[in-house]
Amino acid sequence: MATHPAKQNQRSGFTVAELLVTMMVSGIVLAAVATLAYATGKADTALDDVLTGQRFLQADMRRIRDALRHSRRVFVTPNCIALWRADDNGDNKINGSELQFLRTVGSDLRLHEFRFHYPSGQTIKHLTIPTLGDAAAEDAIVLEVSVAEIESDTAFHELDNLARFNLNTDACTLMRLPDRYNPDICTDPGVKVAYSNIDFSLLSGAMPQYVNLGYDLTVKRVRQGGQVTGQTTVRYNVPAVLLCSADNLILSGEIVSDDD
Amino acid sequence: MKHNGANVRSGAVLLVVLFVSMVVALLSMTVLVRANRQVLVAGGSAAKLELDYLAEAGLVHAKALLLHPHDVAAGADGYWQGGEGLQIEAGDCYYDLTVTRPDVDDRCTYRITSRSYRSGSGVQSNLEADLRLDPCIALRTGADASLPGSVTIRGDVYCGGVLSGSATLYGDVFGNADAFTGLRTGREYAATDLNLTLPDVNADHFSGSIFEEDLTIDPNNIYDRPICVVGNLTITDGAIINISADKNYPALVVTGELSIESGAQLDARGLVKAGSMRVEASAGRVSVLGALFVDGGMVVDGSYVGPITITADPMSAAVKTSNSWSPAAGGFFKYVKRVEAAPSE
Repeated sequence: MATHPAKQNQRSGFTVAELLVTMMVSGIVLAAVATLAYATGKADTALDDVLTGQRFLQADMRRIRDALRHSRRVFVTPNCIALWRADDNGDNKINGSELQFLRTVGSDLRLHEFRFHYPSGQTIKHLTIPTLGDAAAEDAIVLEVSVAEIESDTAFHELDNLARFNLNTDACTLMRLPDRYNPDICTDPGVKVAYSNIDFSLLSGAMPQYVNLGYDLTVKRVRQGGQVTGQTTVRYNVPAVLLCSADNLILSGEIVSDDD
Repeated sequence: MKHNGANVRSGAVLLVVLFVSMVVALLSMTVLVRANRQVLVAGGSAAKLELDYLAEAGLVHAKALLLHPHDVAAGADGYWQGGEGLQIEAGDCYYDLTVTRPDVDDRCTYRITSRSYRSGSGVQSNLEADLRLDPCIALRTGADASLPGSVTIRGDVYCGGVLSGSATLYGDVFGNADAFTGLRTGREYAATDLNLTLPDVNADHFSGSIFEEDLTIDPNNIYDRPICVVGNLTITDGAIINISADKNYPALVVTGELSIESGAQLDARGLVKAGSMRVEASAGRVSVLGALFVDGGMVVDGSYVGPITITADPMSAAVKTSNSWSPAAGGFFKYVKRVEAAPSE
């Protein structure tokens, strides 16, 4: 038994050839797996990017649909549309804080509203757009807006100005594309989304309850250096029946008194 | 010993294969888990959308039942107050409806909350809306109506002739109101703009006392049940009549003239229908909570101080005879908004 230890060790190990072959085979397999993993990871990241973008778009579409269906009245403006969300204070008039504006900003479609604060103990001024100049920066304001001012876009611009100088008025953006999907803001590689050819129509003319918002939605993938690898444009339509109505308050296109 | 060495070599190959398999399995699992997460997110969005639509359907359901309240049980306040666990179709999606009156004096406006949910999940959608029943007729006359300043009407008025007088009208007028000089908060429409059928009510579908001839009610002859008179009805000599209609039936039907004279009072809850109506200067209070429909003209003496109060209440005035009828000819939501989810029980 004392003359056999070396031979025994030789039998229990690997030969150089065995190790080389094993390493080569393992290397080939692992390289293939690594390639597959890298490709799968990249595809997964790209898919995740697209799906995340889709979720934002679905949420936006749902928000637009909600805004349309739940509004009392939709007005066509030079930029897009304005919605009378509700008569919050029950005064049978349209107040600045009761409006929402769906507007295009470059490639984006954004939903805006203006929030008015009424600090306790402060006298509230009831103003109209012609009297808006009477407001001081610290005034709490109820701003009454006419249909004509909404439809000419004057209301949006005056509210936007008001939000800049008045401490008790805030401009809020309720819906917008995340910056990384907006090609006007972010040029990094990835998925980009753009709205275009937006139009709004009343489906049956005399019946303002039936409305449709149409737009082209372009989704593209931009690679490093700005190369576009895939681009699809789809026409979307958001038809909606307004659940609410302001017909009892609006006559011949302007607010009138009523028994509400 | 040679046998043992062979075992060691084959074990090493097994380890290598296991290692490679493990790496492949881990990578595959990662991909599967991420794909599964996307599917779950997409499924959650679909469920939320379904519940959003269900909550809206709940609002429309409530609107239909408030416009046609004939076959639903009324609560203590006289109107349907909602229901729980309602379904449009078999499945695990339900909705609860709650109906209240934001202003107890306004019987044409109802606040509805609709909560839809999927059984066994935390997903739900909550909407709140104010429904206004409009137009809702409080007074309808088929011919001229003369209403002095002692008359107050809360609801819409239809006049088939000329409406005159100085009454207070909290509502719209369908008809010719050129000669009307009182306070009117609503608008004036052409009579033809109102699309409302007349209630088909006669002695054949009546739950109370029926008189086949003219009737005079005085303090010695008091009725406190619904009355149908095929002829003329005169309430006089300080008689005080207080009538509440049974559900789906009218309170008072007079095929001829309804006359209120000499200190008499009439309080009616439900639909009052008459061939014509006359209120003398000396008559007492007249109060109708429901609707007053007069086939012909209505004359209230110019010096009458009454007062007369007619308040539209479609829930009280709705009748179900040969057909289902309500004085509310339509309805719309004043607003619809999402509200925070109520804490789950």
